[in-house]
Amino acid sequence: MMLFDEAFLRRLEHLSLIYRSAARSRMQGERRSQDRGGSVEFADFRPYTLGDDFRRIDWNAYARLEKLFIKMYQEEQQINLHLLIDNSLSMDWGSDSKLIYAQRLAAAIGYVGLLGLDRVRLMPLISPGNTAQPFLSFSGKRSVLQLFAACKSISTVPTSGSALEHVNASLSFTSRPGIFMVFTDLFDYSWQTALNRLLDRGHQLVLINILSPDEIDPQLEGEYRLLDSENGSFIELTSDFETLHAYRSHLANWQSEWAQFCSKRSAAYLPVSSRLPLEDLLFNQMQTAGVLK
Amino acid sequence: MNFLNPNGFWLLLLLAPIVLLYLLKLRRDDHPVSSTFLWQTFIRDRQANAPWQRLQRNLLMVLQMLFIAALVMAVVRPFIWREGISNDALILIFDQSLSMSATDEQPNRLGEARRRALEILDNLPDETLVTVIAAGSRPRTLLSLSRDKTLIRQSINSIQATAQVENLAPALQIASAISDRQPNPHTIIFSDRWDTLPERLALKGSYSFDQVGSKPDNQSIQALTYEPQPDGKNLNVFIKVSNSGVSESSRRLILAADGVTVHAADIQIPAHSDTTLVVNRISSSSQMIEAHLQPAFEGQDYLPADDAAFAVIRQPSPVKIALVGPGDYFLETALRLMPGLEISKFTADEFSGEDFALVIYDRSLPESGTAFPASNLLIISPAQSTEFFDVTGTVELPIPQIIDPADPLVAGLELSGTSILDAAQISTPGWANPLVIDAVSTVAPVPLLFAGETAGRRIAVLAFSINRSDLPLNVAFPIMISRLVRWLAPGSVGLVPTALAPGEILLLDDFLLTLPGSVNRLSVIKPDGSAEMLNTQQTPIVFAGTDQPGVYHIELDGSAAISFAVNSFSASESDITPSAPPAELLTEGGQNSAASQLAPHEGWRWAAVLALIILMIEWLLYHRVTLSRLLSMLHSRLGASELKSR
Repeated sequence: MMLFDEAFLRRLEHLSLIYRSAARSRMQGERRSQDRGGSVEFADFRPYTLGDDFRRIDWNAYARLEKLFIKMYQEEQQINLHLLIDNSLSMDWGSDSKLIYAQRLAAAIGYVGLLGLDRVRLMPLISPGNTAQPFLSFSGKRSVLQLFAACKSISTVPTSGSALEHVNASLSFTSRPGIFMVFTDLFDYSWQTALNRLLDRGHQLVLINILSPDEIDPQLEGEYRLLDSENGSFIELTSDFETLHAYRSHLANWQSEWAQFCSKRSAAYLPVSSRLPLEDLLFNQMQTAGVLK
Repeated sequence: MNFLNPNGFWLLLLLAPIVLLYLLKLRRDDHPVSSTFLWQTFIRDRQANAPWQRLQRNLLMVLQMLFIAALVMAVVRPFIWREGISNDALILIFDQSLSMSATDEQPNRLGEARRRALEILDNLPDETLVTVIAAGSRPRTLLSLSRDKTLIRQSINSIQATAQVENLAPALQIASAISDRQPNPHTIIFSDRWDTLPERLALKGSYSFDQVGSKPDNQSIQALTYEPQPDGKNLNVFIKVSNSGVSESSRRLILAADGVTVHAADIQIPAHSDTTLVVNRISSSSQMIEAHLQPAFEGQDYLPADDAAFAVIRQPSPVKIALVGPGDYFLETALRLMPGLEISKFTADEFSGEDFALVIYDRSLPESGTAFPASNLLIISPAQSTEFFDVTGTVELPIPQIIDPADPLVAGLELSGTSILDAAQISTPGWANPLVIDAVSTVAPVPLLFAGETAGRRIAVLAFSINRSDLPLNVAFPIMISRLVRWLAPGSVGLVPTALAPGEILLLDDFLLTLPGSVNRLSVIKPDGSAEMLNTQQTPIVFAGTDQPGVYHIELDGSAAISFAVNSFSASESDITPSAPPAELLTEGGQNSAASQLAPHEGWRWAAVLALIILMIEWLLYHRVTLSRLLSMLHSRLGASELKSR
């Protein structure tokens, strides 16, 4: 089953991912790397040292300065795009499922990456059976349908482990830094530690915090026992107009803290509602946030 | 604490359903959510910032229980015993006399009495019926048998001191009549002097005397009189100043005539004694004299109200009398012998009938077609009928007989030996009283002299001609003429006293009758400048507003007519030495009315107010959601309108 229609895919073809960090692989892609390699596009000079390729000596510079310099060129290399989808039980809830939204979003961004000749690596946060498994890797336009199918196949898995444990497990399958996009509701106290681990590996983080409409603006008024679908715990709540108003303020503060966390680490943070049309997110907000162009 | 209605505690059972409903309400609906993560962090933060939030659910229940408890406290009517009045009826009598204006209490003795009465009222049981009587020269019952404390307070606060002399007896009679009809009454008399009261007061139940005032020091003007000096140019003015205090006092006395100071003297007045002054430089043309005592140099003066006196000087004005007729020597002689008369003689055709206090028609009447003048009339020997009486014939040789020897017009006169040739036969008109009749009339008494008032005037009719009798030879003749003239034309000056005491009533009917013509507007201007209009159509015409010491002016149709003074010359009132009642007071029943009493002091009102406050708090708390929402809506609307305006 197609996640997207043709028109949407055509629009996605105009997008490309923005890389800010020095994340590089040995494969050639369409992205510029900071390595001074053997391509034709001149980048800079440096003094000649013993062992450099003498064919790169710039004789014009020697004629002017009577010193030996070699030319440096921009080398075009392939980037690893990691797509990590939080598939905890809290993600699949209600009519506007956060998991389905994450699947579609990851598929769309993965498509952009494949078109940009990047290596797209897809992984659920919690693997079936709670055993760590490597990323599913995709490359080239031929892999689009496989990518879409893989995204769609990700389902919720109950777990007693923390987000940190699962992220650590997934990081064990990454060797080289790249872009790491995390699609999650952040409903775990260990996410900050987990993301710090991720950043320590040199990855460029894009954190997409997906919440459902009834988590953003709950319609509760009265006396309730809220039952947690993940762990079965409950809390008692007396909800009234003032309580809901305070809750919304609390949510805004919480998201603001995440924004500050990401800003300090040069990471992108995008709080979205699972009801937000993908077009608005991909073609407006992500471009404004410097994730896509 | 005691309770008047302890059965009310059964209402505490209402607490049970409140608790029961609260327990039922504690059930919560289960609501599955994706995760309680955000709610947990939210609640944790909220509880850290506002720990009382946890109590909020219980708060409504607590408030409802407190409301029930406060209401039950109001129903059970708690009370404590306190000293005060515990009678079923309370009668308060306030002495309003001049001495109660003394300022040895703040603001004065009567003000202190009011304060004490209000204090008693504050501690009075709610069921007590209260009567308030103001004892001036004419007592007034301001409020009768009322439980409304607001009205009682208003009545008490409305009582003001007057310049009148103490007169508690009528007030005590009223109190006696009221107390007779009440079970267990108590009467309190607020005054500064006990010794003016009767030894035994005919008051049912108990009574007490609340004495106000503590200082005796006062100086006053007790007399201000004058008499013309022999040369008639100046007046000798006598002033008496009294000191009722226990120490000598020095005061400055200022004397003014028509507003101009004519004399000032510093006087020393020993304790408990009087000082008199005579000032003889006052012009006899002066119309008013005032004497004032300036503030004391030495000693105290706690009653300034009696430091001024006023005297009105009236110039004698003759009574104008018209004598219309052919003339009669004896009549004219009798009239000339009377002082203060200005007699003008006219023939019938030359008399126009204006501006005379009395017109005497002697053997004449107004020409046909001409009305009688508007003045009082003495008609002697009328030849024909008039609008006032009918002449039906002639009586030959009547023998005069006085009908009522006690009548002041004919009292002590001897007329039986008088010979009369003839007299007009007149039947006594309805407005008149026959004074002298024909003793030998066979059918009906034929009046020979009758008098009365009709059509706003006084009329006397002598049915026979003086010169057709030997009446002028009777010693009674000049006396009778004098009395008739004084009755018919008394002289307006003498009918209004030059001085009155405060509270004294002034009757103005006789004064108006002496005036020529009619008066449309009659007003009295008081010393403070206010005017009181009097109705000239009603009788008697009474002016009772003599409360203020000073000079009063009577105005007729807007013009000043005559003045009089009101002075508080009362040695008893100016002697402000307070006197306390004897140590033991006895009622008619022999019970000691001065014993202190314990009265129940209820507190149900406070409990009711507390219940109301709790109810308001509970209501606000219960509707916090709605109120918050309304405030938020209002806030957002105000913000939107601000944005629009920008």
